[in-house]
Amino acid sequence: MKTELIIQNFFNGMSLGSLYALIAVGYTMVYGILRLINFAHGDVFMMGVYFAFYFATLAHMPWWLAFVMAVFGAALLGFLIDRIAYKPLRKAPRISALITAIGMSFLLENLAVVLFSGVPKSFRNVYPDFFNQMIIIGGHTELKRGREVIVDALRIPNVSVVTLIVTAVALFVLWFILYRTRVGMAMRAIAMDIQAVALMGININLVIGFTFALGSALAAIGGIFWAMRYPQIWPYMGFMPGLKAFVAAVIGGIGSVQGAVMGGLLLGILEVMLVGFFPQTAGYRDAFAFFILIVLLMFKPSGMFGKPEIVKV
Amino acid sequence: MNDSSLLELDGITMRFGGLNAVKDFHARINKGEILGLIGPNGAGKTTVFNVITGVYIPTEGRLNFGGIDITPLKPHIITHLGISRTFQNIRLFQDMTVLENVMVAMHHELIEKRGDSILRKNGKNTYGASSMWFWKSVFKIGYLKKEKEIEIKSKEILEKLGLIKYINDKATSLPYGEQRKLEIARALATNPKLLLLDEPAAGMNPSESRDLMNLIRFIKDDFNTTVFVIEHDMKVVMGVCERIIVMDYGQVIANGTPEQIQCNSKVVEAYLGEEWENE
Amino acid sequence: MDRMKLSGRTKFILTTLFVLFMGFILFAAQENLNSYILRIISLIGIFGIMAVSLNLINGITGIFSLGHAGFMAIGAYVSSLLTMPLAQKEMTFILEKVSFPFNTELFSSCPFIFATLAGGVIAAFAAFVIGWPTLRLAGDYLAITTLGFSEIIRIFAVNATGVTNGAMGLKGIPPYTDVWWSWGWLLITILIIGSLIKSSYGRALKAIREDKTAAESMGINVFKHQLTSFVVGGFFAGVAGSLYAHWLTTIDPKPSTLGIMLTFNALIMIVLGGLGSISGAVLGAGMFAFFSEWLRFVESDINIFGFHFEGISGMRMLVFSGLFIIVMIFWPKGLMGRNEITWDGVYKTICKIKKLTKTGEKRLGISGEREGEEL
Repeated sequence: MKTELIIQNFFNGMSLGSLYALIAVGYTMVYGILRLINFAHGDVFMMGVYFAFYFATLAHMPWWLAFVMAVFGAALLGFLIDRIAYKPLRKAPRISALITAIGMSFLLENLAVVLFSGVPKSFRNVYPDFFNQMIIIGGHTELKRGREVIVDALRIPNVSVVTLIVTAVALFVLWFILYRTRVGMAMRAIAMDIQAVALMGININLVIGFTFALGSALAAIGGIFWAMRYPQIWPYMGFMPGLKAFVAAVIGGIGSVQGAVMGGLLLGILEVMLVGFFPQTAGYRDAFAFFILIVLLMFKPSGMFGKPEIVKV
Repeated sequence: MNDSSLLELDGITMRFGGLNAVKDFHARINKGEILGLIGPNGAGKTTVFNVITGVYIPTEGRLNFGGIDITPLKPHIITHLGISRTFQNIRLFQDMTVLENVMVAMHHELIEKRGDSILRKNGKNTYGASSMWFWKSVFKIGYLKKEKEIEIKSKEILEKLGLIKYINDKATSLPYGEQRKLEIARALATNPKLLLLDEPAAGMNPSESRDLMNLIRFIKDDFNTTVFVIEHDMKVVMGVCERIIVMDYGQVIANGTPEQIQCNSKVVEAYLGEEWENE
Repeated sequence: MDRMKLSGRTKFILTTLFVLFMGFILFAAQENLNSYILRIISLIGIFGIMAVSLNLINGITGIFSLGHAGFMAIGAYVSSLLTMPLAQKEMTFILEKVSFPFNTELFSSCPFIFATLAGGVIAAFAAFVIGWPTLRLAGDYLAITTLGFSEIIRIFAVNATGVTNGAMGLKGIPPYTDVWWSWGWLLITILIIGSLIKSSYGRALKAIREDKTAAESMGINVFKHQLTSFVVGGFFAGVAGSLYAHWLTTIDPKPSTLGIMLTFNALIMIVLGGLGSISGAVLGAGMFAFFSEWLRFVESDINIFGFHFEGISGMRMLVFSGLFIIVMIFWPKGLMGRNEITWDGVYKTICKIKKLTKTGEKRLGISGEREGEEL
């Protein structure tokens, strides 16, 4: 019996972890090139979900088209946010850029409240019921109160499986872009030395904008699967997942894409394991992410894959 | 450890990952001397400074300063014990005035208790630091006198270094050469027995370097401070240093008077080479 | 140009007169203005304490802390639990009975001053505990970790129903905060933090902000000084929290009340006013309170040319955030930058104005001044 629970929780954790990973990657890429914590990232995640919602309901697109369009929409939004709010502050002190990011986060949340109303909406009807169904492995049927029920089985929601598959594909595409294309090479170079890259004649702002777009697209994918998992959507839904994803990125070593993925998966698994085996701690599950962060940073201040900063004196 | 010795570096090795920045560095700095440290770029000179001042803890070896083993100590304590430095790239407190830059270097006298207890244990004079200074500073009890003292002493130092006219200007508004002098003034304000100067002549024209040479001699005589200088400008080194240590690839390759160094074939080969012939 | 500087004694007299003048203004306000505006004035005082204390940590010492709301929450809860009458507590705590020691008469109905001090002290202690591991981290890691701690405090408040009444929060907190309490504490905050900044200690903190390594090399124990700044800032944040709780009269652990929103608001205040300036922080607090209230009109129904536009709720914050971003792009230094409003500065400005008008009068040939008279 216990083994089923462990496997189920592990799977569940991986699924949640992949969502954190998708969002975390966006944070870590932007931080890597700009040293900026893009607080608005979680809200792009939220906007992507709302795009999907309205494309499907108002524009009556088939669900798969709505999702794809939403991802593009979020990418565009990410690009625009950088262009409008962050680009003018490239040379400003770090704290100004950071505060602007916070302001942008506010702006997006309040924009959502004004446009979509603060009342939570249900995402359930947007996607086919297939995703809600479960794969049931093993177990046996029992007679309970006159009905046949399956007990002691491994229950895996289809959406979890799809999440893992889509995440793997998305991360593969990301890897391909980063390591097999010119743009990706430029992105990696900027993360190392932005001034040198500018001197090479590369259009920095375009590459930076592309990085934002890419990260936002991944966040939107994460958001859509998040909404399938927790079908209530509301303008502040991006706040906590965004924060936890950022914690995941820091745990993995801020600036490292592998770190963000590992950190996200690790966080998801640990969180689900905690609540799975100690249900009484459910209220504290959000605090748990920060707790892991603090403990980790005490022993490894640059995160799992981060490079320790050598003080150049 | 004999009486004229101020600082002894015993077998200092500094390893970063696989790289030996400094290997088996032995040296003795005597009281009241002006000692030079030269070598090609990347020889490990600034690393030696960083080890002495506690920014790095050496992988191997020990440092003995006036009888005190300072190897494990943190930078602020080492400064309190009497070693101070300037930086290769000027690191002034940019948004603060010239006077404030110098005054802040005396703050440790008020507050560094742990440093004081180390001094006391080794039979040296203490500064009378205490944590009560926090409360005294906030409520301004018994504080104004000390503040005035600090201000007067700082102005004296600035006067001696010819910077008094810039006193209320922001540190960054000074011309380059004066900024370098300000860094030296700030380091002197910490009341050091040993002053480490990291390439103080960098970016200076010949007349400024001549002034610098006089300044270094002045520091030795007037402030009674031993000086240890890293420098690339050979005129300055040969003109002002009484003794020179030469480094290459993290190790000492020669140690002697300017005349001895100039004749040392290893040194000429490694470093001076054509450069000296052109001087 | 020593003529441009005022003597220390003159400045002291001027400051005392100014404080008395402000006191008189507050008294006049209390007698004549309606309670709504008075509440805003009290709130500005509270925001001022919040901003000045955060400014000490972020603007002066250069510690990028995002955990300010956590300290305010501690101050809010501790002081409220102490001032609430026992009967009120028993009525409010429906999820779980009030836990020790707040279920005793000794720890109920306490005088406001003690409760506020207690809130500040406990918040300062929390700052010490949090600062100890956190301040060793590099800048951005520090930001997210302080944020994390602030969130942990909030989540703890949601779950520890015996102490905080969980998500329901505390209701019926005695409404002690008025313009005197808030501006009185603001004065104390400014005096203490200002005095700290204007001392050798303050120079050390600024040096740490400018260049940590150089500061360390000049004998400054960077960690201890950062921790001190953090704890002092935490104390006054706790005080602000206490005043805020007794202004709101109900508190809850929602992010918008005592969570991350509050930290962000405080950050906006000090950036608008000028990071690193006490007077900037106070002005920023005032600007923030003013604009948040003034912008309420964008949420009301509008009638233009006979067309009726219904007010949209949330529009106010939307416009506010938009304006804020525009300000950040064009004036990243804020109103004051790192400068302070000082008596010397005021005197210089007055002299300059006098000079300009005298020159103007001369040019226009307006008589009244003998020719060639120097100022």
